[in-house]
Amino acid sequence: MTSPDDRDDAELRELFAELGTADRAELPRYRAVLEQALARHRFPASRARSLTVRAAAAAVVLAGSVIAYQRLHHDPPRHSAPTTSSLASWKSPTGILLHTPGRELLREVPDLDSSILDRITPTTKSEAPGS
Amino acid sequence: MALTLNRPACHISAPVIPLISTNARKSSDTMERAQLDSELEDLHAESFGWALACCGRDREEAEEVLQSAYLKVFAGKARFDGRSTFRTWLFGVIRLTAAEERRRNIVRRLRAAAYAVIAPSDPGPDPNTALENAQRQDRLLSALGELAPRQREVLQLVFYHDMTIEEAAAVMSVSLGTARTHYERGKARLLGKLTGDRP
Repeated sequence: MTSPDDRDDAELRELFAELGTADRAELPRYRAVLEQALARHRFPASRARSLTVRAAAAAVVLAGSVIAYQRLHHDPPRHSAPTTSSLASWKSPTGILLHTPGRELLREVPDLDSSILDRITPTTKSEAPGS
Repeated sequence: MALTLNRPACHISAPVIPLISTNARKSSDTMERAQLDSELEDLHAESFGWALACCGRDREEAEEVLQSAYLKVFAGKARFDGRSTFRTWLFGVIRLTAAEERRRNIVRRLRAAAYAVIAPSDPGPDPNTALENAQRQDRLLSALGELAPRQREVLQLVFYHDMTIEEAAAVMSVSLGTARTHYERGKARLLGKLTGDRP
């Protein structure tokens, strides 16, 4: 007669045996593992990392050189002059909204001796003294 | 020579062994390369199972650990001195390698080619049995996942690899008493969880 402990052991062994069978179903070939190991040995990850770091460093140096070259071979005054002129002539895109109708009436002192019709036809006023 | 092999060394047909660096000569003091290759091949399935257990069932990581462990063996970085069985020693190497890989946590994805996988030769059980087996395995893995790492290791070594507690202790680099304690507590907890989970 088997003890409960033996039964437990047998049950666990059976469960682990099933796990082992499942593991063996996806077992990689020994030679393949060994060949991969040798490939890694010949071209280790550290060497790959080193190459990556070197490539990144070379890219940074190259980018720096290009930027430095562009700065050295660019004419600074020609570059700044258009900026000044463009700033002076800059107009706000919404400036037109400030031009309200009849705005010029508020900006000028009214001429009490003249008729409003003179404004419409200024030539008549200017011609009058001469005529 | 420290190790006595039970069988004659196999002939190495694959050209991979001579490609290993000259450091491999160091290990030839204790074991011939051909014998090493033969022993490793014989234990490959078991080693893979143990590597899986050491890597939290991560297949890719387990393969990388195996690669590193085999390299160590062939390059002479890990030398078998005959103080235990070759299997116990190899499992110790795999365990240490897995721990190193975890610590370094470096992902090596420079794979020249996909690995060939041996397909199961038999058509397998019918779907109902397969489903039942899968559920039982899930329950086992889930219960194992809740154990302490040392408890998990000792149970894997004893029940999966049919090792004695003494051999498991050697693999785990702990004393026999410690291994026995982990074994007893781990087994009780595992059975408790399996019985509790049982539908």
